[in-house]
Amino acid sequence: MREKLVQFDKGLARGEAFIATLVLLSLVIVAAIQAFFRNFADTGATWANEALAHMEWGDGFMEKATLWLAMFGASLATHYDKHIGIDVAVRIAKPKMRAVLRGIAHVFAGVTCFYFARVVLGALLAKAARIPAQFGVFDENFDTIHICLGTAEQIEAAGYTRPDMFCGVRGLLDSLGLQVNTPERAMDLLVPALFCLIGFRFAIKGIGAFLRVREGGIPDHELEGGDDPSRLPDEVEADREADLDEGEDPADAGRAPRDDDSDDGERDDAAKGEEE
Amino acid sequence: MDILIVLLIVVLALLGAPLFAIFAAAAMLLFAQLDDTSITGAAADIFSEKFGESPLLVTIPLFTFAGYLMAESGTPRRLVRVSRAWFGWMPGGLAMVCLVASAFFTTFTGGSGITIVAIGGLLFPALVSENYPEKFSLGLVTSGGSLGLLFPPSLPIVIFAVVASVEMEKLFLAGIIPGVVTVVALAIYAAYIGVKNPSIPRQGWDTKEAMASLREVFWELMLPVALIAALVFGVLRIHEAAAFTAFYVLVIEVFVYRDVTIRGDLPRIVKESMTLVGAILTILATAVGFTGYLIQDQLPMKILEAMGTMIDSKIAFLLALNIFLLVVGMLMDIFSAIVVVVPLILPIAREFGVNDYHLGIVFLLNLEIGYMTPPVGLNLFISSFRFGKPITALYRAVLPFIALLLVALIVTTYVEDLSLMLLPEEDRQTVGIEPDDGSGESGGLDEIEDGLDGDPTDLDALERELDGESGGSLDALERELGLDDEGDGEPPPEEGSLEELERELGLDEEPPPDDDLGDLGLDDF
Repeated sequence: MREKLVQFDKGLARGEAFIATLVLLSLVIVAAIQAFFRNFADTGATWANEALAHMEWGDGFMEKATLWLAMFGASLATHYDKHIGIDVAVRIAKPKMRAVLRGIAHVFAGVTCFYFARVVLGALLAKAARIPAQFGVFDENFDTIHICLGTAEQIEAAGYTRPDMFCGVRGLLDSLGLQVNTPERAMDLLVPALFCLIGFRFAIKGIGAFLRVREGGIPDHELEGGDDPSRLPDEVEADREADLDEGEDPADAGRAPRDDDSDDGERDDAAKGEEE
Repeated sequence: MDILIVLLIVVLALLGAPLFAIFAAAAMLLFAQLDDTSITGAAADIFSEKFGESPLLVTIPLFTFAGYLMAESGTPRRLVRVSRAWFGWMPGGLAMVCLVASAFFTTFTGGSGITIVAIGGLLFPALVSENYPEKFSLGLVTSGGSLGLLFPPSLPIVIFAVVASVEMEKLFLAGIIPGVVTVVALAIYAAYIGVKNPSIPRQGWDTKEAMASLREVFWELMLPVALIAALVFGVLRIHEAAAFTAFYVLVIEVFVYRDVTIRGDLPRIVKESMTLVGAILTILATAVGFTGYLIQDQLPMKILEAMGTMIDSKIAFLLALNIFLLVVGMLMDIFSAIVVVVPLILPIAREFGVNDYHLGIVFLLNLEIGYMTPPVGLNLFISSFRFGKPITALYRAVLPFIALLLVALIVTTYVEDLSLMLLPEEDRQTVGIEPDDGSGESGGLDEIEDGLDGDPTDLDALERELDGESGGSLDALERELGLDDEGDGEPPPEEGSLEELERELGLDEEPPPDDDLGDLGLDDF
């Protein structure tokens, strides 16, 4: 069961990393193109002005992309145990105590994330209840209703076109008890959803850390890499052996916190440098 | 109850719970104590429009990505080569190389210890093999880990600008000279060690190698030059500069140097950099709620009141601030320290007449030193792991470097012009008011309350506008005051607003001699 959970978590992290890559590269390209056109537009080039007019969605995209990257990044940070914290106590504790400390910290973080997700959802839904002018049409009593609820005549009278795709999503969310009136707010729902996922990850890690107390706790060599305490001990050992097979100096097996993943690349650089 | 909550949360933080969860829990629990604010209100604060829609936020993933790309490519090796060719002939040449390469590298990687692993990992063995004392070499590579934090576009500067709502471009400019001062201070020490130890070999000047190494690193070296020029001349706005940096680094590392492969390396680099971005932004998001509560609870005013009896001048305030921040920098990660401490310190610093940009640089320099201060500075642990040395050896090794950086800190703190001389005239002024007699009985507290009610940038904007752009007309002034209340389309301000403005600008106080209030168009009042 534990192994299956670990596999599921890893698969999930791969998916999140893939989405983050797509979002980040799109962000870099959109922001760079916008900057390019803006500069030419400022010099009075009409073609650049026209191009810029077609990119009005760019600002909104950058804002949402930042939010998504933050959330997917936070979820990945949970997976790789890279959240920032004061880890002096964890460092100086004995392996068994360390596992207990990790257990407490992670279970606390998990519970907090679930509560936080609920609170954020409440705040978002409160905001999402407002119907902005471009999504409002008048019903027969001249009350404003959402465009997705309007009849064809009402929508036509307002001079709008029905956003079919968004109305589908809105209907789906409505059936889950989540009423959102704009695509932007619908996209914001990713925030509480990912906080739930982060909470789930922390809870599993916390329980995993407590279970390891019986197995002797969390040894020192796992600490430097900030490795996942919920990983199976033999899996950690296999990784360690693989590292050593690659010629890593055992004294160096301890890696720097928060830099462990980049360490290998830099070791290669070090080798290159020394060759020179 | 409040005390119990605070204690429980502090204990959990010390036990290693993630700081974002600490802030989230603290914000939720503390807001729940208030009768008139619902817990949903707290979340609205946390994910307020200000956080969600700040144009500066997008710079964080972009600059971080660019930094990680450089860290994962051959940049460290090329930097060491070019620094060696150009600075290696000096006494203590290789140590200079380490300082220059570390400063450049940290600028782009934000100093979270990557420099120690990347540059220190390359240079520590070389330093020892060239007969530099091991203790010195260890201290050098460790202090190099946070050396470039004051140079643009380092991530801590970006985050300070976001949190303090100051103009990022100007904060970039403010950091340049103090950054150079810190590097020069350490370079003098390196030269001294080089001269003192005759066994350290001196390398001759080799024009061919100097030019070849420069050619090799040309594209990377062009980045800070282009970036600063683009920002100074206003070609790029700040988020565009971030996009340009990320795009430029991506293109040169993937297509010019070919150090990074699209399929093999890029997804891993994105994953690693976004992990850091996620860790920082969740703290930023949750800390907004937490500090929001503290401000609502009037904590800055309480601190100010408590200080009133002991601290009565700008200098005394800055001294206390330095000591406080060194401790903070030692205990907390730089990013968390900025998001939690800045909102609390900023109004107090303004009250003592400290310029926002100067405060930013002093703040960051303190945290830079705190990073390597025993017993728990983060960089000490990183060095200890990376070089396989006991942590106590690191404590001894960094002491002379800390002493030198403290000298640089004192100079930077008390010679305000070091931070401000590159800024436009209007940004060199301070918005706050010097406490008149230091008794803490002046109208200072009211003013700070006024300042807290509105957007902290409003006064800057107002001052700028008055300084010239609008010629100080009464209409412009009234417009600005209307905005101050965040009331789009609200009626013009009531009587008394002008008096309030005068108070905020210090017009009812004795104007400082160099104040250019003449530009304000006082006749219009």
